[in-house]
Amino acid sequence: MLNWIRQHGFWTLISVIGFLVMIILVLYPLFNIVIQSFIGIETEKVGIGNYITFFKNPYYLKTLLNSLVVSIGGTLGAIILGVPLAFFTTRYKIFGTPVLSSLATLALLTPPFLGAYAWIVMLGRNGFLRAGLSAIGINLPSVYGAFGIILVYSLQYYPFVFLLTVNGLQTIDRSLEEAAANIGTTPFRRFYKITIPLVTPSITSGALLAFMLSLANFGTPQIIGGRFRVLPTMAYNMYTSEIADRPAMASTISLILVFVASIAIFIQKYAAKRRKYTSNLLYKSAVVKLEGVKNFFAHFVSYLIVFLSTLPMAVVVVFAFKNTNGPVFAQGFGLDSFRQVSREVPLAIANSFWFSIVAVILIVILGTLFGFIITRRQNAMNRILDTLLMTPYIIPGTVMGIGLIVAFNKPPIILYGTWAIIIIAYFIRRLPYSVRSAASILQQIDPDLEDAAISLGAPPARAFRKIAIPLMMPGIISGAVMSWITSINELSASILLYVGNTVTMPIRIYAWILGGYFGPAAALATILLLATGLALLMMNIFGKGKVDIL
Amino acid sequence: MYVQIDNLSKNFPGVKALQNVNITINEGEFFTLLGPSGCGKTTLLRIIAGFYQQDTGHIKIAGDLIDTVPPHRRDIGMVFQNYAVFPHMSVEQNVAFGLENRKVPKEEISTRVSEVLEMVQMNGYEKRTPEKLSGGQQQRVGLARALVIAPRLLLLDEPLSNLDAKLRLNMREEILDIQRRLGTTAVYVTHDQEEALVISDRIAVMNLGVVQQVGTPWEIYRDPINEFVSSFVGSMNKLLGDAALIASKSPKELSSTFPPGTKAESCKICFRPTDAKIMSGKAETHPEAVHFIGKVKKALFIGSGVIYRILVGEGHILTVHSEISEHNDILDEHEPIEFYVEKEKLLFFNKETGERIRSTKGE
Repeated sequence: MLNWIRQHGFWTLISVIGFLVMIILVLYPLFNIVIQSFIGIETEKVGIGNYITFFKNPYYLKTLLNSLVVSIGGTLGAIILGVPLAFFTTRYKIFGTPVLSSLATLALLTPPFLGAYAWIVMLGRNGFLRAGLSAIGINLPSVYGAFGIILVYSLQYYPFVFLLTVNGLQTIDRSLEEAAANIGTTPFRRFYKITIPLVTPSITSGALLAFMLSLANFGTPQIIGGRFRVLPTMAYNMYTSEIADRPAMASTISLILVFVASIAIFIQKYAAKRRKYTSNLLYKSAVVKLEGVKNFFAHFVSYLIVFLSTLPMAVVVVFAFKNTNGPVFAQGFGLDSFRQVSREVPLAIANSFWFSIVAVILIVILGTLFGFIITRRQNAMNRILDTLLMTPYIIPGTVMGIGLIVAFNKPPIILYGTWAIIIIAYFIRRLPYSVRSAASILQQIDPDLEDAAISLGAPPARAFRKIAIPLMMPGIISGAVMSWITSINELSASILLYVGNTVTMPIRIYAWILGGYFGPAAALATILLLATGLALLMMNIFGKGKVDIL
Repeated sequence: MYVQIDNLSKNFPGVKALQNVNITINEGEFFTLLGPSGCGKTTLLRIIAGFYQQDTGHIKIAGDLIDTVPPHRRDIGMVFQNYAVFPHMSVEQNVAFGLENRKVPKEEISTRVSEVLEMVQMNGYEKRTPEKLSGGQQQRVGLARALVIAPRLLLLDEPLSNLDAKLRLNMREEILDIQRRLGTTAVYVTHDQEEALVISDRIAVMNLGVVQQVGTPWEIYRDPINEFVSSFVGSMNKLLGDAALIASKSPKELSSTFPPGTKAESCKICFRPTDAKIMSGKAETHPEAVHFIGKVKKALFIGSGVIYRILVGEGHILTVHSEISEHNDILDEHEPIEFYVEKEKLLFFNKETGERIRSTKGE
């Protein structure tokens, strides 16, 4: 028995570490939020008073409704943009499809609040597009509020729907459509009776991702929302407000947010279970070359969608090079804004890089090990760990931030105000993605390979190092790059956790935008975009060349 | 007794994978675990390798109890069904892997690797990567990799089942030749009864986690212990006792062959299609045989002979495998047909339990 423990010791240790990490960094903060949410605002009595207040008071209910409206609106927008683009680029010959696909991915990976900012620059009160259009008599609706938020979410998250639908369409066996044609089904009927139902699971999983991220997003509504409140911004504002009783209500709102996210996942899981198709993929559908008007239309729509989602990035870069005069843009181009950035915020840049790099090292090491045990060492304990590891996925950044503060600004562990708490926030928020990506690549690796190595005399740790790791490497690299990109762009948790000397680039950009300093904000954002782009390029060279965002 | 498996049991949730398995294997023996999928043969192999832990029971190799020895210290070579050749290593690196684990000096590694590659006829492929090899070549690498460590025991888990039919036949003889040359004790898992008969010194037939019978290929084929073994290894005609009496030419002649105390309604009578002989002349009878009559339902020409499906008695179909030399010898559909089976080739089984009913004399 002792020998058995020695033999399995290493992986059991990893399971224990997994539990400790999840308990200390997720369950304990969440538990603190739960406790706080039950403490009455004025009475300090323990009870469900805060929840009753939330559901009785139109002020809170309106916010919940707002959140649902913009999340559902953003999701529908993402479907409307993503599905046609997926169909056009997989079924018809669209010139430059790989470029369109890369641009869409890049758009997905930029922080959404940059999109919000760019649309303000274009369509805000003094927006150059608004000015230009109103000069020729077109008056656009205000971009502030629900319209702007939905616009940004749609353009930000449609690539999820697009990439997943492409994947779904590519795994539909062509013979299914041919069989339908063969028994006399018209093309239109074929499309909505065969193709659409088969690709629906892919569309809904993309839509779920869009919904979850829209629901959790903090930066966009804060910047472009104006007086339009959503749950994350309300939780943030209440938590940071000076009024002492508000943090309790922020906790209540946080839990309601987590609850809505859980329901969304539950609905999607249920829908996906009811229709799940496997295909043994004999041959892919043909790519048809369209003619004339149809061809023009398909190209126009595809390019327009990608153009609109790339436009904010272009605007940010262009405005970074505009000369400024204080907060106002001046005539001509130059490096004023970059000079200001290098003068004022070298700390934010350095912090961003080193926080995210430390976080990624932790994410990659632990994510790979956890991904390994949940796929290769399935037992009751690791199945529970698997579920636990997915919990950060449904916890919006704002909620995670509040949880970490509540948990770690008091004994036994005091971390608030340190750089460690920001790294922890990055780490715990992105860990599930790394675990998933390690697990999914392991599922494609024959477990017999590791057994073969062990039977040839390699101890388990050596078999893992010599066999599993090298084979997982492409997945590990792309997982690392994705974690790094999303960490260095993180705003919603770190904005709650930072203090003066732990400021990061996204926090600085956000603060500048709120303060009206668009020039330096654009310059710093350009640096962030450049880092993101370079990381993606590196992944294409060293990774498996495929983006694993899902 | 080189390998000794005592009272081994293993349960998976809801499944009794192995129940009280007792097997002994001699040194240098080629031993096969044969059975349908889910019979526990692979589970047993993986317990021997150390990838699963038994619930109860013990395994000894060369007198050493290995129950608690972790798999990487068991010194057992294993060949996998899907080759499990490391895709990121060359042929050479694959084969050298086990020796590197054992900290064998570099020069010795390279001699031993080239020796073993020559043995499996893969010399010249040292630098190739697995993706450039065919399935058969990959399995040769898998075999070389397991053999190069000079294991105490070689385990082969359906190593040929992913290969095409013709290659399978060549490879099984090669594996046997190499095993004979090295004298390595081998445990081979397969669901292919013909493969098991060809390659094994002894076979353990397994079903539902229980070892049904252990014996030489001849014993397994000719003297099966129960109905399962008889029909899993080779094909078998089966008739309930009553139906057999109706199908026979002379019920009296047939009932005289029944083991003492056996009643027609409680037994099954079985014989192999190759043990039935078609009567050519009408007049002849065979004193030590039982005769059956029926009608040809189908005659399937398979080159070396004819397989007849014969309708006997009240609608039962029997199969007779007949060699022929002349085209005219093939009987047409609906023609009456008569055949006989030597009495000693008839097997009797208990209808309910499937246990063999032996005649008193001999055995």
